[in-house]
Amino acid sequence: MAIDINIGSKLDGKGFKQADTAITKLNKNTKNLARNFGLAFGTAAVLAYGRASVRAFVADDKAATALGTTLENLNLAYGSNIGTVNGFISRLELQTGVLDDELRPAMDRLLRATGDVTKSQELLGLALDIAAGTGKSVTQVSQSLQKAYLGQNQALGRLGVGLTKAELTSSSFEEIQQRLSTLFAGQATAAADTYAGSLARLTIAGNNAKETIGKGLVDALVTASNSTSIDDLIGKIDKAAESIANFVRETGEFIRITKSIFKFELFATDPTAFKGMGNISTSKSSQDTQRADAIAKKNAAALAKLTGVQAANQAKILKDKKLQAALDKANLALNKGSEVFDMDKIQIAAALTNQAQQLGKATSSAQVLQIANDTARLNVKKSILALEDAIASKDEASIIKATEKLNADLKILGALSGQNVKLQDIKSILDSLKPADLINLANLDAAIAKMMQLLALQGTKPSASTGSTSASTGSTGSTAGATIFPFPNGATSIAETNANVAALGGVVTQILPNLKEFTPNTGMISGISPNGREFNFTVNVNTGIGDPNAIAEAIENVLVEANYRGTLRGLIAV
Amino acid sequence: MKQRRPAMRVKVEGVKQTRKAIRQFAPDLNKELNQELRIALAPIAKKAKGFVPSDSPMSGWAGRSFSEAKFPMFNARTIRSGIGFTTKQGRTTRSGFTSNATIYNKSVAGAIYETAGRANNGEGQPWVGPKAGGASKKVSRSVNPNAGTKFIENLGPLTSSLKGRGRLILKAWAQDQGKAYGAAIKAIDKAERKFYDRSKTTTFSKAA
Repeated sequence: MAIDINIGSKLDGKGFKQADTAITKLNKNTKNLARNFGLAFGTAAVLAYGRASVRAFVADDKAATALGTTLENLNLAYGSNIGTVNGFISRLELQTGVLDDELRPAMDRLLRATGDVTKSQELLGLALDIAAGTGKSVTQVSQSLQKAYLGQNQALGRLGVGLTKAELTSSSFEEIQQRLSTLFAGQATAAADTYAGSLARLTIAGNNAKETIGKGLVDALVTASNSTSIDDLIGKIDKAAESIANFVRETGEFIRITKSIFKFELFATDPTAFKGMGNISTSKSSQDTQRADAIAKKNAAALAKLTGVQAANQAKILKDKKLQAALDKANLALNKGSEVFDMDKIQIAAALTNQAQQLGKATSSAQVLQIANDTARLNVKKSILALEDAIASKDEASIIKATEKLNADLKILGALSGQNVKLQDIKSILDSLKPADLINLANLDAAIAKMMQLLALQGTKPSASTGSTSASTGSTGSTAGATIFPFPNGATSIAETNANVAALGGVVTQILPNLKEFTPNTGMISGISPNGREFNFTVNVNTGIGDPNAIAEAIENVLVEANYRGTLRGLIAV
Repeated sequence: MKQRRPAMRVKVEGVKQTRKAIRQFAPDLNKELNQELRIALAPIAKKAKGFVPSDSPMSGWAGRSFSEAKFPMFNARTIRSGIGFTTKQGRTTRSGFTSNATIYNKSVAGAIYETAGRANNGEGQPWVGPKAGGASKKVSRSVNPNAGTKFIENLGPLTSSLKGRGRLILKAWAQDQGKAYGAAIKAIDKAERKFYDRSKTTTFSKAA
């Protein structure tokens, strides 16, 4: 929706002109169509036109004859006068758009008044100008001019040419003619240049054509009927009319007879009365038609069959395409499967890690065995994958190596499945899973327990040492109130005890409650250095590589926890 | 009688053909005509843009971030940008008329602001309420029976002009009191007259 203010709107006549042209064109095309189909309409139009043409020719011929007679009567029909007058009228007709049906009587009238061809031509031209200027008819103006020429000027006054009564009365015809020529100069030509004038000129051209055609038709009829004259032609036309009447009469008789035979009312009321008659009497043409229909039907069937085959082929192509699409989809899934396969590898690694964690939490031999079994299976799976990768890589060395690895894993798995082995036999498996402990707490606890037992055997308490963060416990130098334990193996001194230990080679053979025969592992306890009745212990902890502070803190934690649990008696300086 | 040979004439039928002929054969005249039309019409469009309120006359008609209905929201910028003029030939109407220049208000919201209240004596569309049947758009289906009347009241009075009643371009047209119209017609007539005068003395050639 828009609001507009239109400025300078004008009627555009082009559309109307186009519509008029289109209608004219349509009319023309329709007539052409009718003519091509030979319809009665075209025939009637031609006949009507021909009739009008003959009539126009007759009228024009009559006027021309009258003008010629006038010229003869005035003794002006000499030389080229008749041709000059007719030519003048024809030109004037085309230039001004006034029909010669008017021009000839006017010229005839002026000739009778003036008796001079040239003067008549002048006056006829003036009459045309006055007629165009005043809107009066050429006949009326020419009559007034005729009368004025003959002395009756009042007739001109009634035309309204702009002359007063005094002028008309006092002036001669020549003066009046001069005055009128000045007043109405060029009116006829100007009027002819207008649209109406153009139409009038076109009409004149059409009428002239009509007259010409009419003359041609009359001549043609005379010639075609082998007539010698028009009268002869008329006689023949009368005879022809009688013949046509006879024909029509006979036709009616024929219809009457036909009605009696076929009962005309039946056909008029029941359109199906003739049903089936075509099959009874098959004409030659209908046989051809039936044959052509059969061929067409056969062709149509073949075409339908071909179309069916094409449709089937199309369906097959579509099916193949669908299959191809499914294959593509499967390939895509396989590719995704390979990714999943990699995921399997990842999951195997994760499972192995989990098994290692579970191993640390295992509390019974059955659990350890189960973990070992699962680990072996995972290793087998891992080896299978590795072998597949090796095969895919087509590297012979890798394949051999992977195969050996798989065989080894299978062997282990088979051994585990038979359950004919002891835990020690699968130690290698578990060892491979166990991470390197930063501190072996079990060993540490065992060592501390042994130390406590040793201290209890010695009958001394480790003195609390403050201000020391060393991992070794040292004597405070005070022995007051301390309990004295006997030396093991009958030794009387620390030196003898040490000698006994040395004799034992540092190997523990038996652990007794009194720790007599206990000799700590030399790797764990570097030595016992008795100082009077006290012992100094140096504990070496095999912790691997790590942060010393972290190690010390871990030891401290173990000792504190052992103290809380009651497994550590006495105080340990840390 | 002396025969006068009619002079060779250039006859251009129809307004479109005249403008086209001027454009093709006398581009300087076309340029001059457009310039004069622009001078005549631009003030009207400018004044009409000035009549557009910067804010919506009603808060409910103001634009918002989300769309609630098909009814076009008030947007001063859109309305102003929709007001203008053209010196181009208009389309031929069904009745066969064509315009030489046009002042337009083409935005929908602008058209509503321009013309709301012209029908039904300024009382809005007949109220039928939201529950009424039918699909006619010539009735008010608002829950408020006075919605149409209030809407029109808030827009302000209509101004009558020879081209119709309105609030923007028609108001500006009315206030101009025909000066722009006279100038435009004069410019068009002058261009046509100059063109026909030139056609009697000049051999035309199509402009490049």
